[in-house]
Amino acid sequence: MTLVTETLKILVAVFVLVVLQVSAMPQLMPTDAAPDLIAVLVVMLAIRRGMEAAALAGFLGGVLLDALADQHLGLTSLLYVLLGLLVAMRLQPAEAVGPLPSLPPMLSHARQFAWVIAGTAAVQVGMAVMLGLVGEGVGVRFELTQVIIPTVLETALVALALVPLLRWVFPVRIRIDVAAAAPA
Amino acid sequence: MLLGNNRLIRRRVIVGLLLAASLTLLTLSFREGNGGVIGGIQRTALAITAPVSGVVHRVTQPFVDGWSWTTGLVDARQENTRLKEQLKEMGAREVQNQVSQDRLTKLEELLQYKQSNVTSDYEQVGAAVIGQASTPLKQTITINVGSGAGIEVGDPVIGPYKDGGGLIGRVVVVSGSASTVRLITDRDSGVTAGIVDGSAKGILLPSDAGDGLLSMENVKQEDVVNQGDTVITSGYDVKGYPSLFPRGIPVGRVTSVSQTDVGDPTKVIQVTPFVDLSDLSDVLVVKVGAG
Repeated sequence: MTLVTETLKILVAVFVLVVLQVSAMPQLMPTDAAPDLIAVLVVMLAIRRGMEAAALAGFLGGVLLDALADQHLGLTSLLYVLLGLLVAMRLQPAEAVGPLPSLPPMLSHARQFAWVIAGTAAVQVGMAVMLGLVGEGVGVRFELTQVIIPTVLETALVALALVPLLRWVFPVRIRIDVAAAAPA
Repeated sequence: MLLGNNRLIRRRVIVGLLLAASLTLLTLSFREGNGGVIGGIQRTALAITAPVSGVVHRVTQPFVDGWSWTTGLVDARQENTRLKEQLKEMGAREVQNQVSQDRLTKLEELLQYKQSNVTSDYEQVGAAVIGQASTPLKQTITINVGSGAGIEVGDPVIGPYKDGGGLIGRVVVVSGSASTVRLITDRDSGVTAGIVDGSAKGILLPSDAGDGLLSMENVKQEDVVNQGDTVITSGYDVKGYPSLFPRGIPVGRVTSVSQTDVGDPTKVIQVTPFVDLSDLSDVLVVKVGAG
């Protein structure tokens, strides 16, 4: 799998999930909130591919979502990039040590799901804090009852199907730095 | 080891650049609003996603209609037996007919509005809703007409309701084939409006409760406002808020008038929009710029 193919897969995944998040999910969900599909993608990429892939997907997905929602451009992408960075650093602390194979963390499916939910909640709380900081907060009660809790619950529901799908699209791969690992 | 270190450096550089790019975009969006580079990015994003969004929206619409239809049946418990019999007889064609009938009714309401004299001075374009904001904090929708149909930023958008049409928002971003509409319940929205008989005027802002209602503020204490009064766009400036809408577009109905403190020169009026903003499928764009 070349770097170009891998990047293209990420771009397509971002595009498809943004379109679904904006066009399909608001119609299909019972509340005003919609599941955060990009947060799911970012966390799964952080687990399966590392921080560059997660940060790239987060940046592009965030910019598209901000642009389509007439939101301050860069706000969501900043949160997604930070999410990818933090999840990857937490789960792959040893990945940058040297030339030996960089193995993805061996997480059970349940733990992957838990990371997705925790990541979604973190993004929603981060968004509420950021909006508060820029003077556009709408109150803790509204944020909790109308935005954060519905979004996390709906994301959990959709993630039941999306997480296995992303596991299939982005299978575990091992990269060995042959030149560096070879004896001198 | 050298290559391993290079990979580490590359990783840090990529993530650092993405963080810096996010912060730069954020800074620019606060400085430029919807203009300049930010406006360009918004238009590009809209142009890229609009065609696919339209298809996805059309594909999911029957599921939504089917779901609404089904929940409607559940609500009518007292008619359960009769409906069950009807349900057995109804096939996909009947469901589709019902969906088509609902849509036809909404289109007739929009046509009724178009034929009224409210904004007849302006050209009006029909549009389908192909997307909506994914957060309750940002109340926007995406429609399938753009600059190719002569739509411009600032054009008012009308939604259907049983006696005609009502204001739902205004266009804020335009690409060639799609536009983003900021709804009147968005936090950044403000509409100069008044009671239809001219007895009061003020500014319509989204209610703090975020329940889809509007608050009409800056209404003088001595102005006479009654529950049930119709609220329309005023068409002129109120306290420095420039009117973006032609006069006379129906917006909603007064549902309550607040009792404010003694000495307060103004009172707050709660207004319920005529149009159900959570169920928009077809709208009308009034081309104010082309008027």
